[in-house]
Amino acid sequence: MATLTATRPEVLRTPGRDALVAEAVTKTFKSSRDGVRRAVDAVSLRVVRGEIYGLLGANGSGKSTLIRMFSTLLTPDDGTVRVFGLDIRQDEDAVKRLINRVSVEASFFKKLSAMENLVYAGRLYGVAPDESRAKALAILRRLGVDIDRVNEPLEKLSRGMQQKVAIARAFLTAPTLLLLDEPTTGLDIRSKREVQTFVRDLRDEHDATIVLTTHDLDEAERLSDRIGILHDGRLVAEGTADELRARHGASALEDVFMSVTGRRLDEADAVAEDKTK
Amino acid sequence: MMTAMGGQLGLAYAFVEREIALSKRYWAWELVWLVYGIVTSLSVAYIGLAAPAISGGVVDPAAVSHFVLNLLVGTIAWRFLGIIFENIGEVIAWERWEGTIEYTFMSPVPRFTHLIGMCGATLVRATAFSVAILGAVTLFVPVDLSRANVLSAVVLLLVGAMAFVGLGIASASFPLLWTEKGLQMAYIVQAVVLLVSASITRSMCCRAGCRRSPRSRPRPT
Repeated sequence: MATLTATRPEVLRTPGRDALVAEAVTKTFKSSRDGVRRAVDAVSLRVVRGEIYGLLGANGSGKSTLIRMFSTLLTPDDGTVRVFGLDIRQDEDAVKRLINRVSVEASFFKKLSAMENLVYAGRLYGVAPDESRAKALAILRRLGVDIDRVNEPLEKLSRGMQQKVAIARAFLTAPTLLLLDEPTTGLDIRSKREVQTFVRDLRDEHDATIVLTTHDLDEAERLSDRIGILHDGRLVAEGTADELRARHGASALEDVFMSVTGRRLDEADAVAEDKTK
Repeated sequence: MMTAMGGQLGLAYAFVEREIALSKRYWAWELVWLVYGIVTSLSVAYIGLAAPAISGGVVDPAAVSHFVLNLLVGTIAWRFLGIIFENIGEVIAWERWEGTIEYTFMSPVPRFTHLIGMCGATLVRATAFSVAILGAVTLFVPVDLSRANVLSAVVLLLVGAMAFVGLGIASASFPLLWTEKGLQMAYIVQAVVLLVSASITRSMCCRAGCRRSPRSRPRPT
């Protein structure tokens, strides 16, 4: 993966172990139907450099809102978020250069080809088109994408292929903090494994820190060095998978989830879906 | 300073390149809008050519030709400015529809650079459309551009473009303020601007007419 190397910004050359520090972060939304809803409630967490931190939670637990705040798309109502020591509000531009994100929806200009989308995304981060093309091909190959199809409009590619292109877009800019918001949702098992292997490789071979949200217990355990469980906007448990199991006297992560939230993960998802109807 | 400016121009060019690529992919729709523009200008021009018959009087052919030229300039200029307004007004709505808006806002591209890039792309598209419409119309209607003041026309269009960019930016924020109805409101703004510009043109022409023809001045009471 030598093609993914990039010159690291000055802020990363200074010593310090914290990649992401969130302190008492709160976000509320107002709507005519639900009134005031606290999507994220005083969440504090610390992700160290080079770590894969898994945020586990049901739909509507606040995972995506938290990721949107980390990626500067939402401003916290309360609390602070620092990325490599930089405040996301005061140093927004510098933070943006260090992060990238993959969301559950592979959001692209669907009439443009995968390569056109990737070259455009690279340009937004100051990556020259030739460099983007070379990097994109290297990443897409590793993700198992058929290279012969990179010039087809994205709307003609399968959901799995589109999601892999979305992952390539995030990796293209060699982010130091990568925010993966349910990156494997909707992928078949083979594609899921390819993406998971690539995520681990990226962390092992490069100086990348990854925050991963998921409601897939196996994925959380397979990929994450530490796991935080979000429930109703609050961080209700945190630790390695082994620590969580030991702390709650559970044999499986599912039992830990039930112990701290009072529900199985699929039940919590069903409740969240009912609320949105 | 120059390096930073060059960097920002490079970022802005990303949007120009993207819009050109999108135009190529949506070529069939671009053709539709081009034909629509040509047909609109031609229809107005033919109505202008029929002015003597409609008015029932004898009109100097040179005056008719001048009248038709004015109508063509009006329709093409309005198409030029309309494209600018629509494209800038849809900057947010279009990316929302595609689902890419979060990625644009998350990237290290200042909002101003984003707008400069979109303005550049819009000017390219509006100019290409206007030139194509003018070229197509001249195939059907005799247009005498031998005394055209190209520099003045360019300056006027640029000044108009800046005003419409401003209106477009203001309208682009509507979908952020009113998610459902924001874009519809933007189109209403465009229609109102058309009405206002038409009424201003009417009053300016009347004033010019009054100066040329003392007999048409209102009688003192």
